[in-house]
Amino acid sequence: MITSNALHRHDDTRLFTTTSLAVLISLQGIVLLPVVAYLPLWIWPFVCVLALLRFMALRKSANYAGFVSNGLLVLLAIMLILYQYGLSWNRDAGLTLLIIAFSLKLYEAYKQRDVIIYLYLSYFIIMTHFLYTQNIYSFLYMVFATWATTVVLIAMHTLKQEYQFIKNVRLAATMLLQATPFMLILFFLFPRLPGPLWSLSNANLQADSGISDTMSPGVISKLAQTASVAFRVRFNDKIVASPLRYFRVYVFDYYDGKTWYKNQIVAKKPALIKKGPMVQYEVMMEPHQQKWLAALDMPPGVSKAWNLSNTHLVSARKTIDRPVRYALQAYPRYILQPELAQTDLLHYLQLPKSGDEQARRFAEDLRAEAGSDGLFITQLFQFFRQNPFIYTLTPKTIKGSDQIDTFLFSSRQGFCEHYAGAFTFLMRAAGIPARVVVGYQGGELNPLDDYLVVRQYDAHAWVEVWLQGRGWIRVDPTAAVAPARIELGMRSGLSHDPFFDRANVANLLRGEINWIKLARHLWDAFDARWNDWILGYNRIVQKEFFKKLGLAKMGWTVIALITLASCVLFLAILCFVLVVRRSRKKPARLLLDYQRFCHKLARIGLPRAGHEGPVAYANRIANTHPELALRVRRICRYYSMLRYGRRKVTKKQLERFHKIVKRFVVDNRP
Amino acid sequence: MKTGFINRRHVTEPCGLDKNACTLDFRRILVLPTWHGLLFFFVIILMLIASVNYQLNLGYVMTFLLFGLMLIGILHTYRNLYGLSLRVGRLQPAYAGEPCVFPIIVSHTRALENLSFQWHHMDMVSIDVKKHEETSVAIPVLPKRRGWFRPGRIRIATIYPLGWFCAWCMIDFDCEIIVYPKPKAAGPYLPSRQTNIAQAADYQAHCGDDFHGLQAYQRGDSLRHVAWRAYAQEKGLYTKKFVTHVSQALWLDWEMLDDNDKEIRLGKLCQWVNDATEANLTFGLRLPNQIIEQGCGASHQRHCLTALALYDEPQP
Repeated sequence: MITSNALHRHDDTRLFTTTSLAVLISLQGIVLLPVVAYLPLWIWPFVCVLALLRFMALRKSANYAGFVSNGLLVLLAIMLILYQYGLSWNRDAGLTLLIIAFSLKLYEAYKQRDVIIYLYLSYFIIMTHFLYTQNIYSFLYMVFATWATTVVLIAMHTLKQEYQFIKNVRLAATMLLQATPFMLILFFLFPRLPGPLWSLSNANLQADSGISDTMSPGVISKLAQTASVAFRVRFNDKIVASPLRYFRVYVFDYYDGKTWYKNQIVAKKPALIKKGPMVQYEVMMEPHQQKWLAALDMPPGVSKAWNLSNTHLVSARKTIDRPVRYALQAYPRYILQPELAQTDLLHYLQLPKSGDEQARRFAEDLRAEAGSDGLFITQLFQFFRQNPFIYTLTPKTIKGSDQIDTFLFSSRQGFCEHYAGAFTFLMRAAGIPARVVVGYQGGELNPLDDYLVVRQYDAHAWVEVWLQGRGWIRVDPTAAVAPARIELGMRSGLSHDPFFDRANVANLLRGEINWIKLARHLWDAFDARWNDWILGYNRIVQKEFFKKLGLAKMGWTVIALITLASCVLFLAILCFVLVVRRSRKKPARLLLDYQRFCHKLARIGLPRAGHEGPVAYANRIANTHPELALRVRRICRYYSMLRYGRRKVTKKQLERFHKIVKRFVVDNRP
Repeated sequence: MKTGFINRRHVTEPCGLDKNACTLDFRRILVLPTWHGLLFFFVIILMLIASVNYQLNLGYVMTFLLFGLMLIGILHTYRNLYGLSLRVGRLQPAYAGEPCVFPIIVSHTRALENLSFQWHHMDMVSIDVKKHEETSVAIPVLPKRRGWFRPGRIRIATIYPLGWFCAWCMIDFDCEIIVYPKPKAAGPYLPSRQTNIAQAADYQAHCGDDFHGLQAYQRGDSLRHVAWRAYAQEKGLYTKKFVTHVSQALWLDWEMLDDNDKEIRLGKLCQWVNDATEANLTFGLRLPNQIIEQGCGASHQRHCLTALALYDEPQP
């Protein structure tokens, strides 16, 4: 093993060619590409400057990167890190340090060994990208970046100075494909140990959140312009119709004149009276860095793993930072909290001390005119319908005080949060307890896989109103203004609505063409499966998988042995395919016949010298014994073609050669 | 070169039909990880720990993919050596103490990359083997003593393509190189010529200045002296003979030297032979156990040097 080091000590001048340095720098670019999204911006200029310096120093002698310049760069890097992160040690700081070490390594690389370590570092850094995102795109990127690094690693071990690009690319691809079965075996059978072994504070987590925990005008409309998936729902039986698909996330009950807050100090758990059939469903939730879990109106109760709040919201104990799957029940027909305690009553009638006087008077007058709560609500709906209200994603920004007044009586442009907020205000002003509920409404059915996709633009705000004897009732003012949005969802419904401002959501109405729609559905179905099988493969899923395979009862030693056995089996198959099959030896019979031929010549004093090839031997004989030249040449040429030729030697050819040698007779020289 | 337990077990006589040729197969090739391979394995372990800690399923995917790549690397490195055909090339004589070339001719039905050949501590030679072509490898060896030199074990190794594993094999060819003694400068440039009329008379001159006649071509005759015109006229292959009428013959004699050590004497004689041949002189060699008659030219030089090399050496 000691002498194998000598094999690594290649000609180091190779590192000085422009091509090889360009290749290494582009590899660095590929590996560090995703870093742009989530690490401080000064990293890229730093890395680029180092690469440029390295390139410029190409012409200089070997160890140009002197101690002083290296030290200065390291010092600069440390100062930048301290400036950015202070002394807190978290994931981002660690990664920044690693990336700087990575680029410094290339800067001071002048031996092959340095480049090899640089390549191992790049493998590691490719993996660290998964600390931020783990979707299909990051997987594809990982495959590409690993492939690129492997190509350079192979090139490091070839003799030729020029990069045989295509050959290395093909070889790297072949090797990665051959490695895939082992990866699959180990991925599914390797035990999922409970992590974390230690933890690193995740201070600068990428805000992948959907709904935030306060509501003010503009929040939801901003969300509605993104199309990323919030969660997917699979119904066990029939799919619930769109007007009933309200998923509750947050309840806001405190208004300060501008923003709605959560201030739920409700006394006790409300009672839920179920009326009507139960709906069973399963949610596959994408990570959003908060704890809420979307639940369909209205969940009766939850298992111990989750919390059910006093406002009947479901939440998890830990932050949802990776895809999670949960099953829930819902009763679309219900009576929630038929009796409201006095303190709760006052709580849900809260209004700011002053402001929006016109709205308050309007509410009081209308309530008095209507006579009952139900009629009041109906009248309010009429008010919205009959006046020129517009439902738009980008209404005029309302600043200052009396925002409700401005919205209701002058601007009359808003998105769901405006309507919900104003409606709740009016309810409370009329003495009816009400609260704003924020969540998701609608969603799109994926016909390929029979599940519902709910995206960020399905985020919605509506109102819950408490009526004596009937409990909390869902009231959606958007249904008054833009009913198509509720009936048909954001995508298809809004285009038909006369109140709806088309220009705004034109970009969301893409995909009306059938094949684009189909492609979108296909991709989303694939994404859902990806979440389930690859990202969601944790200890619990692994246990189920083992049960299905019948491995559940066996201990881990047996599973380890199975893993080992299958790996060895694959290795043996590949060994056979790669090594043995391709290196067919020439048949021994051919060599025997040739040997016989040489013996015949040896008997007359013309033995073949050990080092002589057949053609050289024939030439030598032809020189000294021209009378044998023709025959000897023929035999030797034929032998050479068979022995060193490309094609496999056929049986016929063997027979022929055997005959020729047999017939070859030499008369003794006189 | 390491000659530990593993290596010794693998020294094999080349078997097969040709004693000076063999093909590498399962019995001869060993695969072991290199230091780089161990380092990379450590990196994989680190990645596994990170995946476990942060519950990264895609981290598991990448870690296991790289692990699979390591396993595949073993196969590909092994494959880079398997089935290589080797045979000994044309051996040239050498001088003791000076590096000489041990040529080996390799071929394969596939293309192989970056094979390295090494003999003991000498320089390593790295080559690529092209598909279906014979490639000659000139391995530097260092014979220490004169006589028959058996190069012995050659180490053939490769770390292509990924450098994590080293596949290697030790081959011992059953062949010998003749090693002449190391030439040592002797006192006088050449011994003075002796007068020996009797020998001069039946002196069969093969070299010299005057054209003497034609003789049938024999193996070993210099091609420069071949009568080409006669051959072109299809009269056969003949050698021109020249004569120098000398009155004195040059004898390089063992007794002329007075060193006690026979090796030194042989070295000096060797130097004399080389000098005499360079000056295109006719000379003879007298050793205690044999006498080589007067002659000149390259073949005569070879004959004399061989005699010096094998003086008092046991037969191989």
